[in-house]
Amino acid sequence: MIRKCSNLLIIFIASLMLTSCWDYGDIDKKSMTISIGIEQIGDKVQFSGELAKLTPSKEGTEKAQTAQIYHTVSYGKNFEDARIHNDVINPFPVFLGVTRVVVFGTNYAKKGIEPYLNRIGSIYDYRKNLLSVVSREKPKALLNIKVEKDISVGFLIENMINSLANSGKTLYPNIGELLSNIALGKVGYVIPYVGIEHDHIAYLGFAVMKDSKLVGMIDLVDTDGVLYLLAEKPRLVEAIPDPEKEENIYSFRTVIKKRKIKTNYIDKKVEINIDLDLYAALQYQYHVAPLSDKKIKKLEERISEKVKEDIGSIIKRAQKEFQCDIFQFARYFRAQHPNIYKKIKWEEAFKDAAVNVTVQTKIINKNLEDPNAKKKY
Amino acid sequence: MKRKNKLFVEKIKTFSEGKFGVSVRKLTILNEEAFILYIQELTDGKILSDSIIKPILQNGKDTMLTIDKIFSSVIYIDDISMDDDENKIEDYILKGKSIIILSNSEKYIIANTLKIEKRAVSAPQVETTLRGPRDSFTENMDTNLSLIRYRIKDPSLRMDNFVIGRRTKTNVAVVYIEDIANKKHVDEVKKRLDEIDIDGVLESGYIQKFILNNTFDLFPQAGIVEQSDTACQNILEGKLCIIVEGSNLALVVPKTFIEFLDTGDDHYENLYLAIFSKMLRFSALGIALTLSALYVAVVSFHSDILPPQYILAIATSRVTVPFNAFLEVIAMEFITEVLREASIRLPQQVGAAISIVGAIVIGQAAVAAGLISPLMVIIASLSMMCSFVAADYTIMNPIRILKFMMIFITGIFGIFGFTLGFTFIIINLCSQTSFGIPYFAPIAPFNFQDLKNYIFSDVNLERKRPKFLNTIDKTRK
Amino acid sequence: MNESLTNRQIAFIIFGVLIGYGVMELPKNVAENAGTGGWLSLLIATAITIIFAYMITYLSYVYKNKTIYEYSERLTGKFITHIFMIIYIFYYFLGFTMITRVSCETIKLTILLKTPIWVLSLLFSFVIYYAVIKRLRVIARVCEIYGIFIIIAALLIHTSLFTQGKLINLRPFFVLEDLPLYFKSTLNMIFPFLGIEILTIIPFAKKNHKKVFKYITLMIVCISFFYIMIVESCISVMGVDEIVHYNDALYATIRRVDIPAFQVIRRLDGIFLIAWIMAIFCTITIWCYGAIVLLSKLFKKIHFNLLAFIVVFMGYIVSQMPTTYDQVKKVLDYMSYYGLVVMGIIPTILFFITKVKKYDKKMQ
Repeated sequence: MIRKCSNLLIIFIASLMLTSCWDYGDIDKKSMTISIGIEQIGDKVQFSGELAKLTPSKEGTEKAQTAQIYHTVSYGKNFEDARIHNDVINPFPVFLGVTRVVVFGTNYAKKGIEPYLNRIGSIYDYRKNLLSVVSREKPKALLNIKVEKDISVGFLIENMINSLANSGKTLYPNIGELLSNIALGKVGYVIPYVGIEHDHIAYLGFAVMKDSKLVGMIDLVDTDGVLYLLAEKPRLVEAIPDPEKEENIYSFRTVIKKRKIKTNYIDKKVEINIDLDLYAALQYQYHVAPLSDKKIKKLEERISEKVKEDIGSIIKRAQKEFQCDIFQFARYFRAQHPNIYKKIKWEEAFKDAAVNVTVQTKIINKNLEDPNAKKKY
Repeated sequence: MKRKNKLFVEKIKTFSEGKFGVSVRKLTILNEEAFILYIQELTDGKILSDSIIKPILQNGKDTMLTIDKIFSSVIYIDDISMDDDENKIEDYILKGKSIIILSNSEKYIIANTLKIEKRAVSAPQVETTLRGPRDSFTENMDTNLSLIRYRIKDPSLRMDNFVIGRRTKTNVAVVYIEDIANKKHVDEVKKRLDEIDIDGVLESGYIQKFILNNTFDLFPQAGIVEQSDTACQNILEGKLCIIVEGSNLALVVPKTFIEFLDTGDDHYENLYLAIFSKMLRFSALGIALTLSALYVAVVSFHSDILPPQYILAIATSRVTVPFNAFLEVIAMEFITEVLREASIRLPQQVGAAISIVGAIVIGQAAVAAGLISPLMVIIASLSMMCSFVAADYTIMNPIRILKFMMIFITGIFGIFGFTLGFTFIIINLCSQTSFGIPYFAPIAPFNFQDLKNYIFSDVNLERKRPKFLNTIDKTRK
Repeated sequence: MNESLTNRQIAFIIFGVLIGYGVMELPKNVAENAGTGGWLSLLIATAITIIFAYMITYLSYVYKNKTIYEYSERLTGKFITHIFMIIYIFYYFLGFTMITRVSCETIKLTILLKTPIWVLSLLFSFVIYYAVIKRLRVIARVCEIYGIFIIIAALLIHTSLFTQGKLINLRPFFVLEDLPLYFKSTLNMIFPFLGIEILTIIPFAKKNHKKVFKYITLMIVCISFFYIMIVESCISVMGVDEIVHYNDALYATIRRVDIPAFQVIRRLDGIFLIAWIMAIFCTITIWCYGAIVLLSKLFKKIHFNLLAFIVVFMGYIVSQMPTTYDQVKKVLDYMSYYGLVVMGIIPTILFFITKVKKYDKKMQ
């Protein structure tokens, strides 16, 4: 009896399940969004999207083609509204699993990007490790540029920032990191700043965000200090003039051997001690000149000074101009003085914090060159 | 005339009528008549005339012949015996013996003149290897037993005979080494063989079905073996080999899941190659079972677990395909299975043709027509190829069927269904036993030593027989 | 029926029952209750759990081939045993249903957004029923295989999470002033260890000699390290301030990282989901088996498979009763306190009766 019933039940359930594949949706029947631009236009939010256009391969060629791109723009009072307007113009449901980059327009960034970051953080569709950048131009214009270097603008920006970050020349803050900075509170952060230069999309420096609002820019030339403090493995190039002969320039590649950030709380004042140990490798000299040990010492000092100045000036700028802790020193302070951290207001304390930077440099090699070689004749 | 003789004569009369296909040869010798009863088709005519008829006639010319004298000093045949039960005559004749009856004697002689059409020992067809002897089992049982006997010259090698099948009277031998094999297994196999009651046994597959636990079990619990060296290796390990008359595939019991993926090559070749090929076979088994299902899961449910470039590549390759991924996979797997089935059934001469047709139709045309995505072709052919890696092909049959189950359940529930479907298979594997041995040993229940021996497959390192077999003699060295 | 297990299998049953739904929100709970010093609370909780585990193991060890039903009857008499049994059965049953439900809710909210809950539960129930009617040995074997798989997957995932995380997020490791807080939060940290009471229904065989204590203690320590690894790797990626907002903290962390070096599996979701579903499957199956096996001791006349069917079917119905996710969470919260009774108090009582009446000497 029970056996028969269970058989019936199995048949019933099997047929039920077969008739309804609830979440089934083929990947080629989805609108794959590669990059998203967000901008404030008047009182409306503008979504501009860059989507993959899947085209069948031409007859005769059995090779799958690389994807092509089409663009969409939609407006709305808020994200939901804009999203609906975005959905109604797309042939298939929007798929965000391939999204590479989120581009914030300057206007929107000034208003605060936190709502959109929270949206990405909580909605399942988005990957949380996508890159976000602030664009000098309107995102719509940026995304509409025709790129020849890569599949699309999204891929281009992502690959560009990624390869720069891998060689230690910029930061690659993904949405997740930004969200945990926001959750930490009391600190600011920097995100890459891009724009169109001479008809090319270019990385311009950092956008400084305080309370997730855009408060300023750090130019590409000034980013060294930030990178020495924040980048995982900065590999920067320093051009140091000869201490004796100004026209000769030594090009060094520096690598951080040790970075130590120690905080203190003395006399109700925060003290931040940054200890950097650098390794420098001489790449080449503009004009080959002999290098004595004394000179090397001097060069080492010069590099240290230069780096110290870079770091010092950018921290000063953060304290005075941006008035926020974009380097997340708060984490270190909390780790080292958790109880004091609870009591003080970090935003205020940071502004008046005393910052001591010490840099030690060691020149470890000369790129297999021997500038001291003796000449026979 | 004595009472027995009357019965004999009656028998001879009935046989002479020709209904049974029994030939009766009547010889007249000095004092009496002799009858030779045999079946022409089963009897070697040359032996019959040279070793039986000729000596009887020559001796009978001038001496008195009694049945005992014929038995002891006239006939040249080696396999010979005497009996007096008239009811057994029929049995003997059917088994291919020749019966000699003297008209005034109470006994008769049974002489073995059996002639079997047999093929010579040839290279293995099902269980092919690169390295390893080429003498595989044939349909002839004596040949098979001799192949084992000449490899294992151990006095305690046992070959227990059974006759199974009410009508076919097939000989079945259980081969094992008495002081190694677990007594429980031997008794259990013998018990199960004794219990078989069927009209006929044509292939070892029949026996396999009878001695297994449950008709509805998915995976085979007895291995098939064609190569004589593999059979001997199993016997030495403490297993039992069942050889069935008329079948060139012997059975090996008990057998666990992972042993199906073991080949003779592994034991003869280098240690690293053995490890490598074991891993290869395991991953191939996994691919055969899961690859298509994973494709469905990725394409239709959780595309974002792949990196963007891959997703774009898959999506682009699928653009022209009118079916959804689920149907595409089912269709493609179905086609490859049909191809496989066809290539087995087709005569060898056209076999090459089908592979060309298959390759062109599936590989080229379907993709060119935009019916199937190129990626799908790769997946289907890969999972097909992977299903050929096991030395004992029987393990792959359930995998091929379960593959479809996995595709279905993944098509409904995505990776959740995939995992639960996989779990279902694992539960089934874990719950099976082969003669009391957990089918998934030595992985679960885990035994490091056994697993190590299995993976290394090296005679030098293998000091002990598998623990799960619980053999009497536990050490090999 | 011979249901004896090897030591290793017993250890892996514990692994299977402990590592389950709990790991999903473990980082959140730890971060919420004890901040970055949570590892200490976890260690203290481990020590307490080992004490309980020792008592339960001791009971099973003394009463060979017996489950709690038999030795409790011997120690406390029929009436009290029946009360105990009802407590246990209700506990296992509730655990089985609620974990099924909450897992299905999580699956629905994360990967299968449109599939109805009842279908997910149904599929789960089917496979669980199939596993349960195969009895303890098979469940133990499945746990053994899956345990290894889960450990390998977890090591892969969490070591790669550590490479993505920042060490500074983990600090301060220890704040002296917070010591009372760590002890207070220990109570919360014991909940992830609920489940070792399953040892009461595993009959030990003769071959499980003294070594079984070593195995079980080692396994609990391993699980504790496993938990610490999960918590610390998640906090190192997310930061202690953010992780508290996620009920699915572990999955949220995994979705956050992307490891380019891994190429095809650079996004770790796939591996994680498979391992996690395997883990909850082990958990639910064992809880369900616990309920059924104790019921079958009470109703000896009913066939085990029929009983299993009734329990799974009833469990399926009950799991559909709560209407919202929060209700389920609430039930699970209450269940944690209930679990303390089942894991701590009852075994302790039985343990002391055994010690006082010196049954352990008599049995040997």
